[in-house]
Amino acid sequence: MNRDDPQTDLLAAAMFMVIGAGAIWIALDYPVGTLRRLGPGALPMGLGVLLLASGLGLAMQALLRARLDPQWQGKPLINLPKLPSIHVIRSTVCVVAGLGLFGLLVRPAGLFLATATLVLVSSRAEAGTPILGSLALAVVIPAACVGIFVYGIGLPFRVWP
Amino acid sequence: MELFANLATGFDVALSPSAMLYCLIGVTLGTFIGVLPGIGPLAAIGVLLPITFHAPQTEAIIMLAGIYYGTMYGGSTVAILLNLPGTAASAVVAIDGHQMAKQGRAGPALVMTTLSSFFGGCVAIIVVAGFAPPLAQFALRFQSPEYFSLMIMGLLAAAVLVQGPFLKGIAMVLLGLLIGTVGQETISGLPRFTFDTLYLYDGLSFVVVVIGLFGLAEVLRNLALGADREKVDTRVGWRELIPTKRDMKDSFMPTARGTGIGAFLGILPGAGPAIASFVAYALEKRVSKNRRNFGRGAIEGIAAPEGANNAAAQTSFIPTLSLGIPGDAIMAIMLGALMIHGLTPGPQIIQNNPEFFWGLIASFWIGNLFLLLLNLPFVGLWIKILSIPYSILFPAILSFIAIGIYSLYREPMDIFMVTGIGLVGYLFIKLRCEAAPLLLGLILSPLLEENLRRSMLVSRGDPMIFVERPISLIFLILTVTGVGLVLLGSWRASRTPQTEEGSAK
Amino acid sequence: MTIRILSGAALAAAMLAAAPAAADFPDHEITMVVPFGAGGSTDIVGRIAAQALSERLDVPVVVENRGGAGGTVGTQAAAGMAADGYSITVATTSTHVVGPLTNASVRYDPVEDFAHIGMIAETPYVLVVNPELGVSDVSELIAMLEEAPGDLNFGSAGQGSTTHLAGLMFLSATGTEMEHIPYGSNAEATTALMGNEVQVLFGSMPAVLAQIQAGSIEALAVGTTARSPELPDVPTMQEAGVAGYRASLWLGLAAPAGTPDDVIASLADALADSVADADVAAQLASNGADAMAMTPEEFRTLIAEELVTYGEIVAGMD
Repeated sequence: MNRDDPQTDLLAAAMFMVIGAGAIWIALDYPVGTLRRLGPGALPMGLGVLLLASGLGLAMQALLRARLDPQWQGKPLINLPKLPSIHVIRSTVCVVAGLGLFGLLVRPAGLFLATATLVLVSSRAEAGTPILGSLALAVVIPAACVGIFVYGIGLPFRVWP
Repeated sequence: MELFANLATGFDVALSPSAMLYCLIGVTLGTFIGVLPGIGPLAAIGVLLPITFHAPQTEAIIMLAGIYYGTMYGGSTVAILLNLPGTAASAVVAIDGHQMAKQGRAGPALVMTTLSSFFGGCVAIIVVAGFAPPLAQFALRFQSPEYFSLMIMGLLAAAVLVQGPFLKGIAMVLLGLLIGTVGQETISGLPRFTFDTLYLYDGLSFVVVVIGLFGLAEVLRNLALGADREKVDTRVGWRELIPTKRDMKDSFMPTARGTGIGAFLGILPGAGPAIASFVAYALEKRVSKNRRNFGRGAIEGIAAPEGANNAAAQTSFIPTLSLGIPGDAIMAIMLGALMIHGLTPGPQIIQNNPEFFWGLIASFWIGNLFLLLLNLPFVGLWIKILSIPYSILFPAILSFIAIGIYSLYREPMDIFMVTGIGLVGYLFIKLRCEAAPLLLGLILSPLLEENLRRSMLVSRGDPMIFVERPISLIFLILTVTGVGLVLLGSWRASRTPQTEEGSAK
Repeated sequence: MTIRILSGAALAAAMLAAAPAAADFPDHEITMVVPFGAGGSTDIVGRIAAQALSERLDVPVVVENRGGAGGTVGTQAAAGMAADGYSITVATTSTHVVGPLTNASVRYDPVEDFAHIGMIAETPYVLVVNPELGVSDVSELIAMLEEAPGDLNFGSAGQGSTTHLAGLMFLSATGTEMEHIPYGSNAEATTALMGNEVQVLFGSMPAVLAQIQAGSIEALAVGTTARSPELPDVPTMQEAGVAGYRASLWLGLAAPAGTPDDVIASLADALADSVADADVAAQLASNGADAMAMTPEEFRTLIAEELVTYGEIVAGMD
């Protein structure tokens, strides 16, 4: 894939246009004020319009580029990305779940257990990691973190439940 | 020759054993704390401020200054090694720095950040020592319209940072500005884009966004690559740790130009220091003969923003010290520390407390020297981090991210937020949207809005105010010229697509 | 994006050998919430008070900065803390009068939800002008405003901030007009005054004192009813002919409602003793604040009265 790939640019352009349009739609509720007294809606509205316009411009540029470049003749330009592989899904889910559990546990269970859970769950992201390795990391890393953040810098955390 | 007499006074103070000790403690603490994601200069100073209450007044401020630039340096280190920037400036350094690290050139990248910082710091110190009062007076001529135009220039410079279409950069800047409007609006108190959640009333924390978009997204990307992950060559000898002669030669002019930009922008509170790295990088990308390599591990892409960042960090003390007016939150804390120690900042501080003022200036230099001496031997150690297998390294990175973010406000929602933003960052990588311009938009958004609204109030609704005021007009002309050159360049490139894309993988 | 500063600020007090106070309160450290960031003028005054209190109560008084939304975030949190005397908060004109009046998201009642302890200090608002304006006293300024209504700008530290209201009070008392330009902080507003983007400012004393002394801005009057020791030559607003004008920023201490009366009494005694101390007064004065004592009842009454006077100004705002 080269970096001026029109397919990717078109997808990015679509994202910008959706966000721009969404911002305009929400900002319609905010007063824009007058030129002298700009209201709270003026900047969000202006930014939404500019974002929509940039997205449009980017899309047109990508289409133009594809037309000029013989490499893209006759190929479909709207190409939805492939579904992610099992490997990608596994690694992403492990990282998201690990961080989510940390967020849920850090208050009730304290820093050590929350970090241990994060390490245990997220280290399963790699299929090749043995479960014993994960368990070992889940002891060593939290201990090191507690040492650095709580005893080293002196951040006032509760370490245990 | 008053300058030298003054500097001599300063070095007398700063070279005293106790001042040097506090300075050393400050930069060391700062470097190690700055390496931790989420803990930037503001948080580090906030945490460490009370320690300094017990130190003598000059030593306390010297130590705080040491923490300040030590943290910035530590932030660059981790940005280069792990693509984990904690500030907008280190996100700029990470663009080329992390590429160099992946190519096994982390050593030269780290050494060059130290050297460029040192150079930028040294030049800026002379500026501070020699011209602080007149520069402070000059800074007063920057009012709302000037700031607005300056920020427009900075934002467009940030858009130039990206590879690929200019409009993509613009769109990312706009997205950053839009995200910056989230939260309660300052004048009417109207909550914007909060989706009726209390959490978003204060807006999105910058650190949460930067860690999510860079650090976490990078982890997700590396894991998704799995076996295809780039192998980092870490079997490097001492020779490869230090920059080559060619590196030094390539970096000299970018560092010098970056330093000039940084030293100038640093005196403009708030917007100036934030913009400095972006403008320096964008300028190099236009003028460097090596510009095609930018974004793929060009050492100029580290040298210029580092010089700019450090020069700006030094000169940003000018308004704080000589007018007694803090430019940003960090300077406000420093000012508070001055007052707690019974010093009244303001125009009289140079006359009333010369040994303090010049001592601080001299300690900037000594602090920079310590950073240089401290970090050269550490470069080998830092690089060892890269030889840790990724399956061990990434859970540690995630733990640091989680704890670093949580330590900011002890708010579990921030962890969920950083996770979501990390996924968005991964999407950006897939769509080849570079996130650095977004960061500048995010930082400048409230400033841009306030200055725009104030300008319109002051002019009683006449937008011509931006072109009628000379300084503002100069920035707008620079902006239009810059954008014109970029558009011309991309128009030319689009006529001859093969040459531009020949080297891409 | 508001910058929230969190510092685990620990102000270590000289822990003397056990020297029990009259009752068994206090027997461990007291947390003092400062609802503004570290290093700001409220923080400095708060820390001076914390130090003085810890010397008198023989326990550490730990400052905890919880900034945000004009001090109302930290105050909200303080209102919900344990009512045992070990949690106190710095109460100011911002957090207990202006914030509740202008910020719709404030959910605490500044009178009913607190047990008021007493006053620490008062900092006057100073009417300052850019020297290029060429006025030397308040009556000349009023004459200029009457000649060209709405031509001059006055700055403030933010829409609905105390400095904004101090300006509105002046306009309503004199029947004049100026354009209001809001800034993000006192420091920014002062810079704008020096750069002549605004010509008039009702600045807080700590923010403007150094500039007045350097001659880069000119003080016309102070908003307190008595002259300020820092600026003895500057008349009060009432002396300058603006009848009934009183605008100052006071800083006191309060605990959550329900704190036992005897605990409040020992805190109030320690506070009154602190502000009567010449050293403490001098520390406050060097930061532009005048030490002031008030009993819990007087303090409570003052808040209730100011809620009414400021409420009228806020009701007249557009």
